[in-house]
Amino acid sequence: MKQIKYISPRTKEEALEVLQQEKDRACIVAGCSNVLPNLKDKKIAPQILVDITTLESLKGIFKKEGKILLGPLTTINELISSKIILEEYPVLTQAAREFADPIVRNTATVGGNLVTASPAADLAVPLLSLDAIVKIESLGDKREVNLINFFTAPGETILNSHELVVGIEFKQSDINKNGCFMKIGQRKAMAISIATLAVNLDWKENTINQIRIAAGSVAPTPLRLTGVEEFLKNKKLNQELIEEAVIKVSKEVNPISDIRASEGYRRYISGILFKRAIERLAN
Amino acid sequence: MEEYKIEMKINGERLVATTQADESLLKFLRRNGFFEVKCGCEKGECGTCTVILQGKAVKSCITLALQANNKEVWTIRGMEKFELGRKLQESFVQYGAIQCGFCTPGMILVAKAYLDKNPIPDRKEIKREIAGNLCRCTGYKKIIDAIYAVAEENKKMN
Amino acid sequence: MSQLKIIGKPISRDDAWAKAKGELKYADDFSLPGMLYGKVLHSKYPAAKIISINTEKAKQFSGVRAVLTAGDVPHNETVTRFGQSSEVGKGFEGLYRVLADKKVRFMGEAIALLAADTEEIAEEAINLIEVEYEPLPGVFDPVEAMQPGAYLVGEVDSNIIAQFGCAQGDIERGFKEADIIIEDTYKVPFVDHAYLETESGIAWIDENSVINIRVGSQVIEHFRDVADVLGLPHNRVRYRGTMMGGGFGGKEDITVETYLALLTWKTKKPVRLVYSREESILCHSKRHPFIMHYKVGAKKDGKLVALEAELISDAGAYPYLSPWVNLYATVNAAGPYCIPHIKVNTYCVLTNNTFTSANRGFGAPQPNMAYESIMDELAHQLSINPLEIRRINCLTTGKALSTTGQTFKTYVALPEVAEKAWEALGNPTRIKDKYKKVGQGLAIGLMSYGRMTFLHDSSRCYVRLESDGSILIRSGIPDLGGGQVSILCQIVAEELGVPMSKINIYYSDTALTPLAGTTTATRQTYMSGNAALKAAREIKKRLIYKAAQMMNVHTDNLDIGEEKIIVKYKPSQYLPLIEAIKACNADGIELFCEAQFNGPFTMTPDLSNIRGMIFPDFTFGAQAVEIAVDIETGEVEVLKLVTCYDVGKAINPLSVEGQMEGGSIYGLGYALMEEVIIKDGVTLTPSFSEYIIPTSADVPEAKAILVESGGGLGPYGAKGIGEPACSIIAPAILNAIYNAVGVRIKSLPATPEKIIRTLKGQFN
Repeated sequence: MKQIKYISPRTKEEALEVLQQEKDRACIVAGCSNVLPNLKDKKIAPQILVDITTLESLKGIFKKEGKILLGPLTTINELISSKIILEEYPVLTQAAREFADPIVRNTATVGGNLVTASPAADLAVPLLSLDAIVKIESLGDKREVNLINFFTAPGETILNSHELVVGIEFKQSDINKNGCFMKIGQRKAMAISIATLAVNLDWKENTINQIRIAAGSVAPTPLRLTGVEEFLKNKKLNQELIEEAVIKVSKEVNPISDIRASEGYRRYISGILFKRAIERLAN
Repeated sequence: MEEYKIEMKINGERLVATTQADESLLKFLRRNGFFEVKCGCEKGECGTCTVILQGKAVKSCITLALQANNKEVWTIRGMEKFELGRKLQESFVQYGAIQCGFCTPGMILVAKAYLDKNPIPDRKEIKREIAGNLCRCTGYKKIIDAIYAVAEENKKMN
Repeated sequence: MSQLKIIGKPISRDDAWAKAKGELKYADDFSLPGMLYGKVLHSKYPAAKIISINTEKAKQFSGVRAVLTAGDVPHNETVTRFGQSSEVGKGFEGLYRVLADKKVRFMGEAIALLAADTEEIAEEAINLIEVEYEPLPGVFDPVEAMQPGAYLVGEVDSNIIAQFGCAQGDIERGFKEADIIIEDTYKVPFVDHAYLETESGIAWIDENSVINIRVGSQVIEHFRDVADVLGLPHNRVRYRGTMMGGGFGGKEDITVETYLALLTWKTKKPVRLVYSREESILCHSKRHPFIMHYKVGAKKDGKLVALEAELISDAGAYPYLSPWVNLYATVNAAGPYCIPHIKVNTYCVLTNNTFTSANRGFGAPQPNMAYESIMDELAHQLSINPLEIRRINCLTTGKALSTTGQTFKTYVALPEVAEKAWEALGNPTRIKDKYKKVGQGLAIGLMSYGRMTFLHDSSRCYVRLESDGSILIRSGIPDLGGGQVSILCQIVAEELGVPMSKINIYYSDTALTPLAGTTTATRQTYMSGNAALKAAREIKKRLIYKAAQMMNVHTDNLDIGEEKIIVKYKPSQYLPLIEAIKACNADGIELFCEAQFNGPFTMTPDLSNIRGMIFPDFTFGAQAVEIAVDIETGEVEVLKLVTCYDVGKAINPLSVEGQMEGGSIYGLGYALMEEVIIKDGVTLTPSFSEYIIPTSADVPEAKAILVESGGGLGPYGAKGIGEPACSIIAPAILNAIYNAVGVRIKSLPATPEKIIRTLKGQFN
């Protein structure tokens, strides 16, 4: 018979100790929207569930020195109702509003969405376009990783089994203030994305100073389209440029065909989503 | 299999029972006789198992029973204890929002949690708010009617 | 008759409060002491030889109480029957095999059953059953399966399990007379019923050695089929049907009942068995995919002259209701149109896909999608507006159905409903978004209500007036959520002049309630409604007879209402109902009645050329939609949706609207998003994250327009509405897409990707 244990550490340190000891026998649980279905389907078989939902230090949205720090246990609905996120990082609010459904948003967390590392992780995409940093801790050690380097494969990240995501951080800046998130799914709620795309844009007098483009469901991991970003940098924003960039977006994404959509449609629609996002930001 | 003793207040009444590490709140509740919590998919994809946990609607199939330890849980059977709960039940009955009834507990609970927070939503907001609860019978129209009627009443009282 | 007091009023359903309070117990909301948990082992292959099954490890596992395979089932192979009382011939009775034996025909087919002390043990132990398979090639495409030499799904020499035909006039002459001919092929996919309550139940053996099965079933008459499997007399198996959490045809076949009965019979203990959502999608029936080749000819003025159709349906691995569904499709193949020259051929073919059977609409939604697309194309090519082309051609009162020649004697509302639905849309909405184009679409249709007349259908209902003036009803009627039970309460309340609150009804029990027939074929309001009406009127007659004596008034001048027996011409003069009851009881006048209502009976038709009456009557309707298509993403938003049906008489308008609104959204899902994708026999959409049905965010607020002609065969002139309501929304949406962006989608669902592919050809 299966033997599975549960622990609810009282402090972050205690959680890190458990992880240090149990390593890949442990599975961290918070919002549970993925863990429980995965347990049921026997996709995972941990020996201990480490419930971190009571760790207050991992909750909340904090503003400090030109930066925002999100506790990984911040729920999607907390993001939606945050005034500062809406005003300074609208791309994140937009994505959060399209995340799963209103009930799941009560419990699903930002950290959970990142560590699950689904290619279709809806929050990863705006966080990529915000150039977020992931703060990671383990017993007696810390490190920071740019989100762009966080995902390695479907369901996989650079996170070691003894490590815990303790924060997600991004800068307060003009570019982060001007963002747009686009999603296409099979339906309007409770939809696993066919494609998502986020753009953050800093431009002056029609010239692009800096642009960040991130996409989801169109590659083994959520990704930044750095090729297109590079191409657009310092260029004058006009219709021809957008059209050229649309083609480049379609080429840079790396989707598969599955039951939700074909590779061809995903390439095509990524370009369209990019065009729509840039049009909205430039107007 | 290791057993854990947990305690929660369900519909205002204390329950002490045992659970296992990976048992969902849904299974725990049904195992303890709370059959009014429905099981439609066990993956968080249908909303029939919705309960109110600490004032918020959650899908009990994707919540660990242990996560409700020492907390307050409300199911449809407890809604009679709230004026809003009774009004919603009455309205669902009156407006024909109930056909097979399998989604009804979840729908009423999600509406209760929502109206507690936002007592006077418009129809569009209601439609958005119940999007995590599937209904295969009604086409949602009469469910929206029923919730909206309660919102209208709230408006009059304000 | 005096004015109706309860009939026709939007009243709260009898079952609504219990559901609103969470007090209603569905099939598995129940436990018994010492109950075991059942589990089914399903095939891992769609087509394979079973070389061996080793159950030893599972049997040895601690807590396992029984493991059964085909050899343990007393009569593992019987035939599918659906409560019919007449002999209908072998063509309709397919093989019902409880557990796979020697060969598996689809992935998900049941191979073994297991019962254990706990759910966890059952789940673990089921995987200890070792099955050695030898995979076979299988066949997954019905057209391929029809060919000579194709892989044989079953044990007989052809995969074609049913063929039907209809013809009238001279098809060749018809096409010669045509000015314009449209020929095309249309396809529809597998879809799931997606009721929120999965297949589930509990069984036990009572003190009289009767196997009791508590289950949500649309056909409680399956108790006979379960008894046959066990080799028991029919009266030793009892269904105790519960309210269902949705049925939509999916609980029309036996689901888990046979498994439950076998496990409880073997262990002598109560057993619970609940399908997971995945099992429900993988292992139980689906709606038939059809490939439909149509050729339609018309004159320049839009008048139809000829229609030829070849319909091929995928029956999946076992026949179940496939022949019946295909018969419906055949009769519906020319839609509600007058066409002098007709030829329809339908082929129903076995494959190694999941089996297909009843699904709301029962063979109508499929051809409806095809012929209504063609009507729209004709209108377009001839520059006639969509309403006009339908008005020119549709059936009207006194005309005959083109496929079978059955004449419509009562009001045919088609012109009226078409106009009302179309007009209710109003002018196209203006949308500012430059990427969105708005379109409107219309479809009309007819669908039968009541079972095929050669099944000799009947329903029974028992009504008893208590000495305190309360009423008890007993009816075998199953309620799948549509309010079937409540309708009977309403009818009896009306007839006997008591409020709904004074009625108590027992339903869906094969031992104690008179059998009311199946909750299928949109038949319960019609059939059981009439049975309840008959029983209540008989009691009413007796009450009035007694009251007339007591009041010294002629019976013709008395009526019942508000718990009184009233003098019609002088309502202030009355006898309280309770007094009449007392008097009847004292005189030994029976204040109970069990009545049977029979539908029309006909002979089994010639299936190669079906003519004459097949169905008792039809419901006529129209659905109109307005949509916006995003021309770059292909996304479709349905802005308006109007459903207009002649329902005869709305016994409870709230329930009728509920059917029309819910039915149209059921159809919207079919049109835009639903598909059980089965590739080489493997289901790729086994959960609700892959099998997508509409959420509240995906649908408009559907509008229902009720026409009440009073021309139906049901009580008070009611017609059936449950299935018709979902059967033509898909073509209305497809036609609206064409109207918006000029592309005709010929296979469902019309996904954004399909629309963009059709619009733009290849990507990039």
